[in-house]
Amino acid sequence: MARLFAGVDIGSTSTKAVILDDSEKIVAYHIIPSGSDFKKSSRASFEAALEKARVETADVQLVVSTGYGRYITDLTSKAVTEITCCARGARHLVPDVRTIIDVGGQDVKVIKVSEEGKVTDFALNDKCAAGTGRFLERIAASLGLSIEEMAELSLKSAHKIAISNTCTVFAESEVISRISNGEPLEDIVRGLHSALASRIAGLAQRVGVQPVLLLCGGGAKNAGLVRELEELLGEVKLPPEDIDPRLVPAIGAALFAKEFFENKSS
Amino acid sequence: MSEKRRALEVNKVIGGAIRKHYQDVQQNRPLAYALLAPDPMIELCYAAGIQPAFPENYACVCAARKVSGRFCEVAENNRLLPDLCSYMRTAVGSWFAREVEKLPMGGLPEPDFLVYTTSACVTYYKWWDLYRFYFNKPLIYVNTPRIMDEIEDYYVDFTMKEIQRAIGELEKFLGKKIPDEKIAEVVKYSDQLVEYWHKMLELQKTVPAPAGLNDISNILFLLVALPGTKEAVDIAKQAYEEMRERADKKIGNVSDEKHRLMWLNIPMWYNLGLTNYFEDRGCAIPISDYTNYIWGVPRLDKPDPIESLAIKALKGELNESVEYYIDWMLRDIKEYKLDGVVIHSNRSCKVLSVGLLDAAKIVRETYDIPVLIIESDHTDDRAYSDAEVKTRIDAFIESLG
Repeated sequence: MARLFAGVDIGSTSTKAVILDDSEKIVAYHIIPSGSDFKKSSRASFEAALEKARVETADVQLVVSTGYGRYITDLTSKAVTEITCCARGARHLVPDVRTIIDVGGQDVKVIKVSEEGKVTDFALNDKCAAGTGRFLERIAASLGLSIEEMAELSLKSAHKIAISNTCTVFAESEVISRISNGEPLEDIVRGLHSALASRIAGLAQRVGVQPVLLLCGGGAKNAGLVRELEELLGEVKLPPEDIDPRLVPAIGAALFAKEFFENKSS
Repeated sequence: MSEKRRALEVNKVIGGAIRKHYQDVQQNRPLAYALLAPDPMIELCYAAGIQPAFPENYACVCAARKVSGRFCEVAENNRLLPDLCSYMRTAVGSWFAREVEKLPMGGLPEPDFLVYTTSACVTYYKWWDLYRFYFNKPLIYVNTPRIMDEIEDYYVDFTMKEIQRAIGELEKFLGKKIPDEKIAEVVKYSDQLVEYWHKMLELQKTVPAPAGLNDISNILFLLVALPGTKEAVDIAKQAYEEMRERADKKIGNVSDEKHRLMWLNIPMWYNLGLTNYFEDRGCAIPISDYTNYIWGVPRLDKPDPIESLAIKALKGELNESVEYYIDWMLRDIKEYKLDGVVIHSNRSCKVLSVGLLDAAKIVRETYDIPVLIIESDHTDDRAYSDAEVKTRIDAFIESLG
């Protein structure tokens, strides 16, 4: 059997496990909500990925963990930050990438990489969640819509309404007030996507955006957000269609597992 | 302590000096609340036999004892807005909490009067003004011009006149003259202290760096609270000799120094362990703008001691332009052989946050070295998030290679 390597990304919202083979192809992956027990969620996602790949734990040569829970898992003692892993995974998928924006559930990362793929700079949102996926999730919940429905609505709008991006709770009140004024829902929803995009673009400009720009994380699945980001930052690339954009750091972690294993063996 | 880092022995002596200072504050009168940032009024207090107390330093003590966030909350419940300087909120909050809580070092007693020099940040001017409102006590201050380019002679003349006026007001308050020879003596001690300080900062250019950021910040207490005293000169000499010996023997504060970093902005006083987090990963922090620029006090060796005090009041990051600050930084990145810069984006310190991101941009463009930005606050520990900060630090260290 071919040698296998795994990366487990234990994020604030979801935990992702990826298994790669020797040729660096994804053999299987699994995503579950992180919940409050990171040990349990990391093991559950890893075991589900093993099951999908029809292999055993012993078939995996090395596991590398990443994400906020990287030190809390009992799957491995090898941990690399999600910033370094995201850069590694992104370069694997898009070799000429120079800037990466990862829009996650509770944070946004902007990572700049050199031609050689080394992280040269990065910026993360501060402790406020107003610039993250949670901003849209919270307002979608209050409107009784799914994120997918929000994205579709946003794309229907030809006229965006300005919504404040400084605080999620205040934005929520503003949305309710706009609805009661009878303003079109699609324009309000587009305004929300635009508010989020403008906050993310501000963070990106702090680091300096260089093409090729790759968008990953859950935010990359939202076409409404992609449109607004492209208006502000120019062309935005997405991971290949067959790759869930939330997997990029876990893919990077699995690539590190392969590298660490090979370095140790040589 | 970790085997990877070695704190200076002199820290124990400085700890004793800090405790003695707070005992003196409890016992001695008259008592004046004074500023920390390079303020000539401190030397004048010592020359006049006035005990200075430092609300800003007291806020650091509260932070080190992990009660600053609590006192910030008390201050906010007593009409101080949460965006105001957390030194101010902590110190004022401790005053409001004095009857219901046990205060570190016994707290700061009510002052007999207040002294102040305007070259510090704008908040301080209003902070001392607020104390005047609370306590209804005299405020004796020195007005100083801000420096955008060179220090013109007439700036110095003006500041000397202001210092003379302040001396007159102090003498009126005390009902006695402050002898000229006493002023000359404290300025001489202050100069000797600064001379040792400059030598210590210079020694930090040695690879490996003999002292850590926490050691240097601790030694800084001498310049903060005891300038003009012989006690401070004696301790500074001891600190210098210990650092000199380490530098000669190539003994570093970090036993396996791999990287050398600059820290920008005030340390997080409630979490000095964060410096150790860097050090335990092979990263020395031999220099910070806080120790080298804000406290880059000039020598006080002019023939006229009042002129020395005037120049002390005018120099330093708080009173000089952003351009100066960036020039100093670019020079020191080379001279201290640094491979990265850590910026503490300090939520409640406005004056030191201006120009920080410009500095980061210029550093990246000039030296192509990584810059880490971590968001928190210097005294309000409620603004600190351990997991977020450490993820950023880990990624930064990974990028250093």
